[in-house]
Amino acid sequence: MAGRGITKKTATEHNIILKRAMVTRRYRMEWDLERCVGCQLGPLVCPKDAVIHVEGSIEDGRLVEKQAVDIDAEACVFCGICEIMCPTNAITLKINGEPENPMRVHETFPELIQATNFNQEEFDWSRKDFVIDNCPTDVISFDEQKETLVVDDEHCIRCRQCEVASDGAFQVTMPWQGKVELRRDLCVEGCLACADICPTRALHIDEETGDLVLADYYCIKCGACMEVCPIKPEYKEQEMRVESYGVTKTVTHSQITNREELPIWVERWRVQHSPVQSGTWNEVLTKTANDRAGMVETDIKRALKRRDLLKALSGAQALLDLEE
Amino acid sequence: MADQNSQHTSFADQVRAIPGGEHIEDCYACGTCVSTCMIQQKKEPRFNPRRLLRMVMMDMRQEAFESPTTWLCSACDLCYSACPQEIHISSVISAVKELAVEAGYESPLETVSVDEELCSGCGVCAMACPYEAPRLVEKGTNGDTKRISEVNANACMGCGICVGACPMGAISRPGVSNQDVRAQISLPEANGHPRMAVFVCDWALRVDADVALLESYPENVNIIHIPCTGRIDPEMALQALDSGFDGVLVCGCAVDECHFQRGSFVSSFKIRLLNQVLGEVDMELGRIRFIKIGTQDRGRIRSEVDDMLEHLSALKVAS
Amino acid sequence: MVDASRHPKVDVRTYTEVERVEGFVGNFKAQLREKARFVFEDRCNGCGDCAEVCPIEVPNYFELNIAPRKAIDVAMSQSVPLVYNIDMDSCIECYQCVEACGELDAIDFSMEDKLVWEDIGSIVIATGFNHFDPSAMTEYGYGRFPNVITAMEMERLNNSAGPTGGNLIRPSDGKNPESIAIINCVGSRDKRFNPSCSNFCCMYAIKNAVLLKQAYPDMELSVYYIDIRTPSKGYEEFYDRARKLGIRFIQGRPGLITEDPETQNVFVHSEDRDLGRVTEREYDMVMLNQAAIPQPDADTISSVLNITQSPGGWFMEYHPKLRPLDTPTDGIFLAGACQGPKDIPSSVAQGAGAAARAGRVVHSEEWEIEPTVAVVWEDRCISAEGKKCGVCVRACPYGSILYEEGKAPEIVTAKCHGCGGCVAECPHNAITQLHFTDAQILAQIQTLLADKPEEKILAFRCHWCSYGGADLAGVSHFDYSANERGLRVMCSARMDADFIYEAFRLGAGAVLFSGCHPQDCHYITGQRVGAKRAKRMLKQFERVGMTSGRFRIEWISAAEGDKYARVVNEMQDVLDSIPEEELQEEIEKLQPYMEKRARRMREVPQIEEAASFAEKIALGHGTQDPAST
Repeated sequence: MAGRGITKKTATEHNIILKRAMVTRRYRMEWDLERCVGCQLGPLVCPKDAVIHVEGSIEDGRLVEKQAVDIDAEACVFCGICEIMCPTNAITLKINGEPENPMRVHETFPELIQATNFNQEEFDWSRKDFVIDNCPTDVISFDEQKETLVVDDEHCIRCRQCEVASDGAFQVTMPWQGKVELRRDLCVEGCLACADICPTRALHIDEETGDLVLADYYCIKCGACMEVCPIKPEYKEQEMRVESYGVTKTVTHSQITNREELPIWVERWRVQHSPVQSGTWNEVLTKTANDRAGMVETDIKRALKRRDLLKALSGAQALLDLEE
Repeated sequence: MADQNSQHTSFADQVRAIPGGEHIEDCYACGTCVSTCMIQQKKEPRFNPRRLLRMVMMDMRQEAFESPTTWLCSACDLCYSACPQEIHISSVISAVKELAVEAGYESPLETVSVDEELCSGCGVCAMACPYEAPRLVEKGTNGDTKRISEVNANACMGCGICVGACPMGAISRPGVSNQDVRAQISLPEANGHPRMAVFVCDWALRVDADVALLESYPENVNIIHIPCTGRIDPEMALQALDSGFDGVLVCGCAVDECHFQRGSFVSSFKIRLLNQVLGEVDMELGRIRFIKIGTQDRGRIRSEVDDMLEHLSALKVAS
Repeated sequence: MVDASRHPKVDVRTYTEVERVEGFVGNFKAQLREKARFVFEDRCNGCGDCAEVCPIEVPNYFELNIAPRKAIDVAMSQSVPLVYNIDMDSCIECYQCVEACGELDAIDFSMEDKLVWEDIGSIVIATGFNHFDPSAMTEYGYGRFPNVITAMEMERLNNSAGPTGGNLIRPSDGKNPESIAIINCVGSRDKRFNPSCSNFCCMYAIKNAVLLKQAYPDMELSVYYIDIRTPSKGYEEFYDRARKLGIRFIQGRPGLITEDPETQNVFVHSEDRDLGRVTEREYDMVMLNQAAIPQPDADTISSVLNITQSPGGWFMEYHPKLRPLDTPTDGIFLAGACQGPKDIPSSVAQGAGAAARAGRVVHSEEWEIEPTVAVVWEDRCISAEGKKCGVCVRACPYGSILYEEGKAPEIVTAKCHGCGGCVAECPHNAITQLHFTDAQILAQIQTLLADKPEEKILAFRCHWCSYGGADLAGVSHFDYSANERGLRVMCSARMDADFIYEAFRLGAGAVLFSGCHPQDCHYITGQRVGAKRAKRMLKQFERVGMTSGRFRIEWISAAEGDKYARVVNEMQDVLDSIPEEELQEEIEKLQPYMEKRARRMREVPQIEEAASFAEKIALGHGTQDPAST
C-alpha cells in the first residue's frame, strides 16, 4: 500500500528529514544542514550509497553557497552508520520518538572513541570568556549551578581548540588519526573556500596577512576541504577484496591519481574504536581510511583468531609457556 | 432519441437530450454527491442532487422545477470529482433549470442589478462572472443608445464577484453592496492586542465547529462574512488598515474548490497584486494575507489565525 | 500448505517464478527461475537466530507494512518451507547473521538465481487477487490521516499472530479505538477506478464487524454502504445476526473524511439515506473496505502463457457459464480469484474442479481436438521457396503456427482450434481447413446462387454466434425474407474475401458478412481478423459504386434472433428499392471487377476433385501427427 511504510522525505534549506512510519516502528532521521559541512565521510560510509554530495558554489574565491549532502530516500535503509560516523554530529536517528541507532543496539558497529574532559583545577578562569567564544561549534557554556564549564558532548566535534585555548585544562581525544597538508602554491589564486567550510578553523584566514593558513592540530580529518577545493581529484577505480566470516566481498575503491596537483590533502590512517566484529565496519574502514588501515584491521583480527585457535588446540598452558 | 419538441417525450428524455444530461441512468443513488455538497449543509436542507436526479428519472417535472436544488446549484463540481459513476451532476441540474426557465419558472435567488446611470459599459462584470449572467446590450433612451450591462436574473447566483470587479460601483444587490459590507467592518477598542479584520466567505469553512471556532476569537478579531471572496476589493483591505486595523486576513476556498468557481482565484490574485504594489513602495509587511482553506482542512483555521496574530504582534513590537 | 509440502507427489517450489512456457496440451515445457534466497533450503532450520542479530529493518509486506521484518527474515512464522531469506536491497552485509548461524552454515552470500526447465502436462493458474490502494482517493485521506486504514491492515492489527499481538490500536497514538466506521465499495463500483463489484467485500465487512463486536462488545461500529450483497447460503442470516449484535448499517456512501488535527479522530461525512440528511460522525478509526483488483503481474502471466484477459484484467475463461474453469488454450485452467473476484467457498470449489480437469489431461493417452484443423499445402507455400511471408502466423489467435524463414510454416495441430483465419488470410491459398475447404464452400456458393442470384441475399454466418442467431430467429417465429440463403463457417475469420467476390461475380443481389461481437469471439481474436478484412471490402465496394446496403457487415450473437431477422429484412428492403434493370446493370458493370479480384478462386480444385484432394491431405502431405511430437 502506498503511504504505509514508504519513506517520505522533506527537504528545506535547513535540514533534510526522512520518515518511515509503520504502525509499530516509526523511523525519523534528520540531517541538520547547518552543521553539515559536506565532508568526504558521509558518501563514503553509507552502505547503500544513499548519501550524495552536493557541490557548493564559489564566487571570487569565497564560498557563497555551502556544500552539503542530499539523501536518496529510496535507498536509505535507516541503518544509522552515518549518524555514528558524522564528524560534525549533524545526524539524528529516532525510532518511535526516542533516539535509537540499530547499529548500536545490535552491536554491529563500533563506537568511535572520543572525549572532551575538563579539569577545573588546572583552568585559568580569566580565560573563561575566551574559551567559550573560541569554540567553533559553541558547545561550551558556563553552568551557573555547577559553577563550572560544561560541554554539550553530543555536538562536540573534538577539534581541540579548547585544549589550546585553555592551555591544557581541556583534554580532547580525537577519534581519527592521520595527516593533512596544504600547498598554497597549488591553489587557485585568492581562493579561500576551504577556510569558509572548515568546521574546526584548522584552515582559517590569517588576520594580518589575509591569506589562508593551516593549523593542523585542529584538523579532524573530515575532508570537507578536499571536497570544496576547486582543484578536483582524479580517480581510478580499483577492486578491493574485503573479507569477514569466510565471506569475501569485492568493493570498488576509488584511488586518487593526481595527488601532486591537489593543494589540500587529507589522509586518514587510523580510527580509535570500541571492539567489534562486523563486515560493514571492515568495509567502512577500507573506504574511509587509507587502504592499509582496513587491511591492518583484518590482519589483526585474523592474527587474534589464529592465536585463540592455537590456544584452544594446544592448551592454554603451552602457549603461556611460549609467551614467557 | 426522443424529439425534444414532441409532447409525448418524457421529462427524463428531455433532460437526456440536453448535453450533460445523457448519463442520468448511471446514478445508483449512493448519496455521495449529497454528502460532499455544501449547500445542503450550510444553506438549504432541502437541496439534494440525488433526489433531483430521481425526480428526473421518475418524470416528476413540476417537483423538479420547484425544487431548490434546481436553482441553488452553483456548479462548484465538488460532487463531480466524488461521484463514482462520473456523472456531471451540475450539467444535469442546469439542464433541468434550462427547461424550467423555458416553462416560465424564475430563480428565487436575490440577484444583482445594474444602475444604468453609473454603468460605463466596460464589460468587466461580464468577464468576471462565472455564469455569464451580465451581458452588454445596447440600450436606448430618447434616441441616445449606450452600451450597458444587463443581468440575466435566472443565471445570476448572487455571489458578488461582479460587484467586487466593477470599477464604477454600478452593479450590486442588497446584502453585498458596499454599504452592507462596510457595515460589518467595525474597529475594536485598542487593548494592546493586534486588531485584525477577517473576511471569510460563506463556504471556506466546511465544518460547523470551525465556523464556531472563528467566532469564538475575542473582539480584537473582527469577522466579516461575504458570500464569496471574489466580492473583495483590494481597496477594502487598504481602508481597513487605514482606519486602524493592524492586519487583514482574507479566508477563501481552495482555488479548485471555490463555491462560485473562480471567486477564490480572482480574489487571491488581486491580493497578491496588491502586496506586490505595496512591496514596490517598501510597505509590504505581510499585513494583508490571503489563505485558502481546503474542504478537508478541518481545524486549520485556528493555526492560520493564530499565526497571523503572532505575526502582527511581532510587527507591533518591532515598530 | 504443510500437507502439500509433505505429500510425496507434490513438489512445492517457493520463491520461484515461471519465466517461459512452450509447447501444447500435455506437452508443455516450463522454464522456472528459482530466485536466490542466499540461504540454503536444506540447511536452514528456521530457528531465527539470524534475524535476531540483524540490525536492518524493512517494512514487511505480509504485515501490510504495519510492522517491519529484518533484512534476513521470513515473511511469517507459518511459512512453508520455513526457510529464511535475505532482502539484498536492504542488507548492508555486516555478516552478523553468518556469525549467528554458526555451525549450521546455512547462509551463502554468493548464491545466484537458477534457471531450470521442467516437463509439464497441464497448468492451473491460481494467482489470486490484489487489493486496491485507496491513496488514489484523496477524499478519504488514506496515507495522510493515520487513523484511516484498509481492511487488510485491520486484519493484521486484529490478528493475534499479527504485529501487535492482536491488540487493536490506533496508528496515531497506540490507544484502543472505541468507535470504528467501516466504509464499503472503496474503489469498487466506481468508474474512476474499478466499475465492477468485488463480490465478497459486503460479507467481509460484516465478518470484520462481527469479529470486532465480539472482541470489544462496547465498541461502536457503523458500516457505510451503497447496497449490502449477501447472495449465498447462510449469508443473509449472518447479516441479520450482525444487526442484532448492535452493528449499525448506514446506507449512504461517504463523500469525504476529515480529521481533527489535535485528537486525530476522523469524521465521516455522508448522507444517511434513510434519514434523508447529511451526517458528520466522529470515529476513532475508519476502515476502508478496498476493492479486489487483478495482480500487478497479470499481464506478464498473460504473455508467458498466451492467455487473454476479460475487461477488468481478470483471466478470461473459455465460456463464462459453460466452461468457467478452462482458458481458451487447452491444458491451461483457472482456479480462484484470478479468474474473477470470488469468496472462499467458490474458490475452493473452482480449485477442486480445475484440479480434476488438469488431472484429466495428465492421465489421458489421447486428447480430443476440433476436427476442423488447418493444414499447410507446402507445394503452394511461397515461404517454402525462400520468399518472405508469414501472414498466416499473424492471423492465429493461439500462436500455433511456427514459422521459420525458408520453410513452409508448421502448424502445431494440438494447438489449432479450427477457426480458419490462417486459411482465409493466406494470399496463395496454401493452407486449407479440413471439412471447410475452399472447394466445399465454393460448391455451396455456386448451388445457392444457381437460380435467380439477383434476388438472393447470401448470408455468411459464423458457427458460434450468427448461425445460432439465425436459428433462434426461426424458432422464435421472427419472420424474415425467404430470399435469404445461409452458409456456415466456423468463424468470421474464415470468410475469405474470395468468397464474397465470387458471390458477387455469380450475380448475388446482396451479401451479409456476419459474426460474433468482438468480445465474444469463440476463437478470441478471430473476429478481429475477419472484421478487418470485411471493412476493407466495404471500402472497395463503395469506391466502385456498389449500392450501399448490398454488402453488409453485422455482428450478431446467438441470442439476437430478432436482430438477425431485422437485418435480413433491411437488406431485402434495399434490394426492393433498386429497380430490376438498374440492379442487373450494376451487377453486370461490377462483374469484371469481381472477376479480377476472385481470380484465385480458379486455382481452387473443383468439387469433383475434392474427394481425392482430401485424401491427399489426410495421408501426411503436410499433416502434423500429434502423437509423433
